[in-house]
Amino acid sequence: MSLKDKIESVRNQFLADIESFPTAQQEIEDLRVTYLGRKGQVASLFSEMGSLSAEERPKAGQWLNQLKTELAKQFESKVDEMDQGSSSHDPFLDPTLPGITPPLGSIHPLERTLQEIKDIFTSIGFHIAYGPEIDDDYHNFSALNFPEHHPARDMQDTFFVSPDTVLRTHTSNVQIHLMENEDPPIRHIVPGRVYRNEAISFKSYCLFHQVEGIYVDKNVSFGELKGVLEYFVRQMFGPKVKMRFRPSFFPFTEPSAEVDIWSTERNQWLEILGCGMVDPAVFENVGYDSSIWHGYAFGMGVERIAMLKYKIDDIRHFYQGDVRFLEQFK
Amino acid sequence: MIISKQWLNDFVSFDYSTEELADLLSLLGLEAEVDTEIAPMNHVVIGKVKKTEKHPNADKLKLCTVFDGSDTHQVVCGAPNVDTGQTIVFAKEGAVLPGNFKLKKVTIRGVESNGMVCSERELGLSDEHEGILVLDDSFEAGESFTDVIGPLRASVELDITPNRPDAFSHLGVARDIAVKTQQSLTLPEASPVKPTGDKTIPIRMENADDCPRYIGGIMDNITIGPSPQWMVDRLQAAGQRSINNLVDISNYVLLELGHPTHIFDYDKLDRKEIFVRRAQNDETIVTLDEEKRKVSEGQLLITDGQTPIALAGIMGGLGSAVSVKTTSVLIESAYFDPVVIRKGAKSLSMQTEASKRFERGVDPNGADFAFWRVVNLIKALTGGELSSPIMDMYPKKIVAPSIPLRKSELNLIAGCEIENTFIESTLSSLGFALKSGKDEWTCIPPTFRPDIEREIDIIEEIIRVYGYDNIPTDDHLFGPYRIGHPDPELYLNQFRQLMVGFGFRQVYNNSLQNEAISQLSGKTAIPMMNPLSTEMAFLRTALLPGIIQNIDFNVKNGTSDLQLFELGNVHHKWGEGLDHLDESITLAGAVTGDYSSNSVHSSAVIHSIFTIKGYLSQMIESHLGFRLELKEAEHPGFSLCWSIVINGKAAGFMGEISLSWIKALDSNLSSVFGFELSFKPWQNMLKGKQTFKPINAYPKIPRSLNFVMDESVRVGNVLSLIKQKGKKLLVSAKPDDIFRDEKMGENKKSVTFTLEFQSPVKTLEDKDVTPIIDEIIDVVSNQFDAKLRS
Repeated sequence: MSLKDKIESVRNQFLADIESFPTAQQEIEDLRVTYLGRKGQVASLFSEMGSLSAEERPKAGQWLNQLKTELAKQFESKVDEMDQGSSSHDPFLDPTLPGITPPLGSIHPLERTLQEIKDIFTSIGFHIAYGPEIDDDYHNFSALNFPEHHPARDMQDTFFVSPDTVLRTHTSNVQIHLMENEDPPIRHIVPGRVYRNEAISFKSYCLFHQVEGIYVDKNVSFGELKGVLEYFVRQMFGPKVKMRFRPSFFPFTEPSAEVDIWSTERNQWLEILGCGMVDPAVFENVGYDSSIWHGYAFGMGVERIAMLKYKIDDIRHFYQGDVRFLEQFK
Repeated sequence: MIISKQWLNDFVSFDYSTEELADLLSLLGLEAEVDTEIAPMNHVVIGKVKKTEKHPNADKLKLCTVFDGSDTHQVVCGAPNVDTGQTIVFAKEGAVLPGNFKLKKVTIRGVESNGMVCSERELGLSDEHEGILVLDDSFEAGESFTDVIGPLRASVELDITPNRPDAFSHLGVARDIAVKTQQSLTLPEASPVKPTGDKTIPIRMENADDCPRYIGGIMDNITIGPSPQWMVDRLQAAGQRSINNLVDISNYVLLELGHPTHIFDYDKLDRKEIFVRRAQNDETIVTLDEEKRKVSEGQLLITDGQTPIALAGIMGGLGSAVSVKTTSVLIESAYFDPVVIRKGAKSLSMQTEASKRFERGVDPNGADFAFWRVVNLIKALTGGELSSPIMDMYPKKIVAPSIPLRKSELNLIAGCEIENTFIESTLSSLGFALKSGKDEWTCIPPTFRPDIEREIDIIEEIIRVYGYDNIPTDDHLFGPYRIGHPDPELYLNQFRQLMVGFGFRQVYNNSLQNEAISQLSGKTAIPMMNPLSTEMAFLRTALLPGIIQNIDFNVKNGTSDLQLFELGNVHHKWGEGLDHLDESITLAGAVTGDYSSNSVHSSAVIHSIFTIKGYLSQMIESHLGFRLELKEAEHPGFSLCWSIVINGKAAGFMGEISLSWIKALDSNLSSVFGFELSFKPWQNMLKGKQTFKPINAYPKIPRSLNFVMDESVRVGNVLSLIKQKGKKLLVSAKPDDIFRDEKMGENKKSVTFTLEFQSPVKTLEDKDVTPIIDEIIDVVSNQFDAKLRS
């Protein structure tokens, strides 16, 4: 028989032997040794290579290696097959039964939205500051350049705890605390709950959540403010969103602006945040020299952003605790 | 404020659509929305009512013959005011009115009707639907309604910010358009008129600070009548109804120039004198709205020397009001202190078109222009004559400040270079007087811009007109770095994650509650001085009541298994003043129903105090590695209650929610369990650093002990003793079975404890563990009268 025929014969015999693959460990091992062992059939064919001519040898080597690999592979796959089939499970196990399910929790959509806002600003170097919900008139209004008896005070309907103490109407009170306690430069966002004495309806509630931001440094410009807010808006609402800066008025910023984004669905501009350059009067109130320090500030409502993002039509959903609402936010 | 597009065109020319006008104004800082814009409507034309007769089969309907410029139509009309000879708006067959209302030929009570005579509401002009819209007869039948009425009514509504008192007028808005589009502004006719008489009236003020300027003038021979159609249209476009020519003139000038004026019936003034003074306490005045108002020192009054005849800057008095019989008037054009007017109006809870403008600041130096505008209009429209010279009392001349402007500061703020020519032309057309230096200017703002006091105010004006969109965006997001994690409340994230992992849904509840609910916790809630309602008059002192309300809501809406949590601030007071208010961040959770439901695999596990205890134990002991103790306690919120003690610090409560709370929350729930945990007492412990401990690879030796003991013995106490005696080698101990059997005797239980021993330094052998086990058996048997079962 030529070597090639011998190879073929070993292969056929192997295939016949593994057809009725043994179950006992020892028999399996014996079978492996018979063919693939050090003195097995494949090894003995390799030893016959010495009798071949130099021209024949490479070809023969190739065949033998092929045989060895093939046999080893088939053997292993038989062993695997057997291992899998061997566990002695219930023959009547019904895998169509439902799974055993743990309860699902969920994060509130306002928390998610706030986290997203925090992530965007911390990604560009902002830190986060927090402050009190109940504050004195000075920190909520006067220090922010809301003069007493000025129509600007009507812009925010206020809950009073005492004639001089209010539920903060914005988190801007924290920028005053921050600047009173720290020297510039500062670069923070300030999230928190704020209150407005407004009738409750689908679009307004007696409280909401705000994120304010402030950056104070030398040579801060309106151009930079635009850059930071364009970055924010595009991260939040997508790279293609159309936006505009529109002049507005806030007592603690000047120039002031409102940012609108274009809603293709509603075919109109929607206001999403207010911003501006920190008014020099605010710097004077906290003891910063306004001839050296400049800055910008901005503020946005978390509810408003969540409503736009998730297309929520009624602000009251946020505070109802209705699981049919909560479970929708994954 | 509603601004008529056509009115603006008196002062500045443009050809924008109403939409474009709103956009232009918005980008100038005058936030505008389209108020009225008449969409093109086919087959809606001006018609003339040729004949009206009674409908043969209906008392309230009329049969009209309407001429549309070429044909006549028979129309059934139900409006009470339709009459022969009227010029009306006629919607012909085929017309489509707002709301997609299509006109077809119909038969009404047996009579054919072709088309409709329209009301304002049907045309989408306003909500007015009492009767049909009757137009001036100068309109010709057949003209397209959209073409002739459209331009008259087109308007935008402005939301004016407090810094722009000048924009409370058509002229002020027109000025911004003129500046932006680089045109000059055309002023309305207000030339001084030569008086025909020499009447005078003494004018005095008590305090020139309250009323720095007061102009008076007397006009006679006035004939009251309807206003001309153009004025009616203008007022209507701006959202006001025409009353008569005299009253309309004052309103017209207010809307046009933003300067409120007042017209007194001269003959009704008991004393021919004007004295402006503060009210005395308990003085009263009946105002134009027929309200008798009690005034006090806060209010400024116009008096005739004795009796009040007007609330200065707010509203006129009824006694001196003009009527259809008026022939002589005293015209007032004054300037009052903004703060005085604001305080006065606020304390009376009044806000009028006049007070809105005075409290923001009108132009003290525009009072004479407004006066002459009124005089010109009265002369032209009522035939009145000026029978006195202008009497201008201006004891306290108001001058605008001189403000330096540096180009360097402007460029720094803007972040780009703005040309000198742009700066100068913008400021001049805004009404500033300028003196130029080298890249700096001295600017005197116009007195109609009292908001401009500082350099930054001028910078804003320039940038606003330059256009925010024209400022290049700096897309380098640079700034100084700061060491430390950016979020000081990072530590809270793990609790949100744990709660969500436990299968809780997060809620956000209202912080404002009614008094009863806010006081449930036993703490003193902080009340609002001016609450929205009694239901929202106090700040919450605890989170659980809100969560229980959420549970109640959801159970009523069909969900019976609930796990809800909230992480938020609660407040309480422990004295007076800001220093005695406490704000603390709190975590609370409540559950009801099944922890795991009945299924094909297992039967349900229902929530109990043990599921709550399990959450806390996982959170505090397993996750944080802190010591958790639950001590029996009393709390109004819980019928079974334990205080939560973390590393020795009392941090909150847990247990089964009491019936008294559930009733107080207007619910009939049962089996609600919860916890409320304040972070303040132990927050500092959460800031510690975590360090790795080597993994103990030596095997654990398990042991099981089974004691029979009295039912009254608490397993936890036995466990504590076991742990104490187990020393360091005992790494875990827990009860894992409780068994009861009559054979053991009455009120006995058998408890199996599983213990695990492990040493960090060696493999334990029996001889290491046996003595410890023996000691445990000994002390447990003695202390608890327990017997070891073999």
